[in-house]
Amino acid sequence: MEYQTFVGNINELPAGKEVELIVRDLTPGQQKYTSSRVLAMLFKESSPGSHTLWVRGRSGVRYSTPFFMKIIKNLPLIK
Amino acid sequence: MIFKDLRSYIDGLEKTGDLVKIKEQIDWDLEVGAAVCLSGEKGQPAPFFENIKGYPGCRMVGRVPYGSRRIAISLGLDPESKWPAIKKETEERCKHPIKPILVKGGHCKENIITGDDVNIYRFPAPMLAEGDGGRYIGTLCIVIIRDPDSDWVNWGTYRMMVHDERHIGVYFHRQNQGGVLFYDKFEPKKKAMPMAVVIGGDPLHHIAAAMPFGVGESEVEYAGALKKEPVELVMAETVDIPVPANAEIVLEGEVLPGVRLPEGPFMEWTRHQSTFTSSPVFRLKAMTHRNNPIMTLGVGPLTNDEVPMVTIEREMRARKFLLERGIPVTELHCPEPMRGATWVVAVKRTEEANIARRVEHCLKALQSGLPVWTVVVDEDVDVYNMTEVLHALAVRCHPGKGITISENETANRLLPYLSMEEKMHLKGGSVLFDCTWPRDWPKENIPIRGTFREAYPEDVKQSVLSKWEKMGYK
Repeated sequence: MEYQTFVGNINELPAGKEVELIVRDLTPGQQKYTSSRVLAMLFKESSPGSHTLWVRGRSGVRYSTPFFMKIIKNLPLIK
Repeated sequence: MIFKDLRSYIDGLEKTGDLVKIKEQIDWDLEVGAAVCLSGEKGQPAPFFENIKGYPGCRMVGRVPYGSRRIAISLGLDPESKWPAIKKETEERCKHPIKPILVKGGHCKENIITGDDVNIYRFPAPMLAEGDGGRYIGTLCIVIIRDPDSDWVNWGTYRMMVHDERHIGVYFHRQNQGGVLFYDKFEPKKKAMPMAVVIGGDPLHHIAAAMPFGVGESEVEYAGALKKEPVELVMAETVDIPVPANAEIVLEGEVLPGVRLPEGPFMEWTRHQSTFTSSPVFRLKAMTHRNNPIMTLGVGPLTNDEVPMVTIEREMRARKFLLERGIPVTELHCPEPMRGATWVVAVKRTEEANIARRVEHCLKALQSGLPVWTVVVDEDVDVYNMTEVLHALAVRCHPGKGITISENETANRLLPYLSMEEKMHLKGGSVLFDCTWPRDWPKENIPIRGTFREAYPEDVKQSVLSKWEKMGYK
């Protein structure tokens, strides 16, 4: 599956560490762009079972290289 | 003729050639936004999409009521009416606000959805532009909030981005009027703020909602004034808020206290993507809608003449404000490609040397962070004619004495040239272009402009005009 997230600075995304993120689902269909809050581990390289995470900057411009993400836990969107 | 609702207005626009009904299937995911944008840039009629992929029965309309023709038609005026005439008529009508009436039912109650069935994905909220943060259900919408401390009910227009089935981000910020004013009364008490949202309202309701009237003033009464009859309201199902009975879609719910989620970016009125924000969240409790509902889209393509409806009120209010302060303004206008960030103001010649500076100060007092550019011209310059305005800027504005740059001014955070730090702290600047002739020049020293109207004696003009067709011109 593919997701996207928005960041002020791409260096905020730590590869190899657990991070809480709001991501938007890019799966085509009626629920596309739905937000969810996840606890995830991020990677620079794809690995089995990982999802592609496209990253966009503050003004919506997409970084050319995606991260890869394994969702550890789905969290409630509203805390 | 003033139309009774959005549907009859759409039919009216089709008859005058100002709208096309589109049967070709279109995707809510970027295609709708792209088509609205291109139709505006090409000067084509407004699009009414009747076949949206995955959403049988739902429809969308773009670019209404934008542009002087479509605004004139919404007011029941001749489509050929010029902008000054539209403004004058609007100003006259707004002198007589009309109180709304409460009715028992209305078209907006044809379908009532509550409980577990509430799901915003029943409607084709569009993804409007590449890089937007998500699907925007609210672009041209009417957000209705009741003041908890009085009987004031405010209508406003704020962008609203879908998070999931029941949660929608609302872009309130300190430079919006109503939203923050009210939310500040609920949130510190940890109370949710009841709110209703109209998607697909009567065009004159949208015009009134987009106009930033003053604190305590009810847009619904101005909507009545524009329509020349009371607006019919019906109570919402789950919140104590009256909503227009003829609305296409009404969303009901509450803005949660103490909750923020990332919202945006969004292709804003500057026609640049704004940065994402951390915005309050509206939780849906109920939805009501007409059969085969129509959603309205607030996408303003970059054109020369697609004047947004909010411009009417801005210009009306500014003119009144300047006149009340003794500034002899003859006309003023926000030229469309300059997106409300620039005002052009024409003034009569007086003895006052710094009249341009005073104009700028007054305009800044009216709207936080705008205008960025103020252009002040003598009354011979037609503020509606960009050729004349640019000409005045080029040859009447002294580059040393005529331009005043002010730093450390309040900024509008949506302006794309601001740094992140400036956006965060609303720090910006402004510039005044004084294109008026210096007040200490004797009248005889002011050069004559080389136009047909001004540079030739009356008898010569008449002579040329009488020979015009014989010369082969039309």
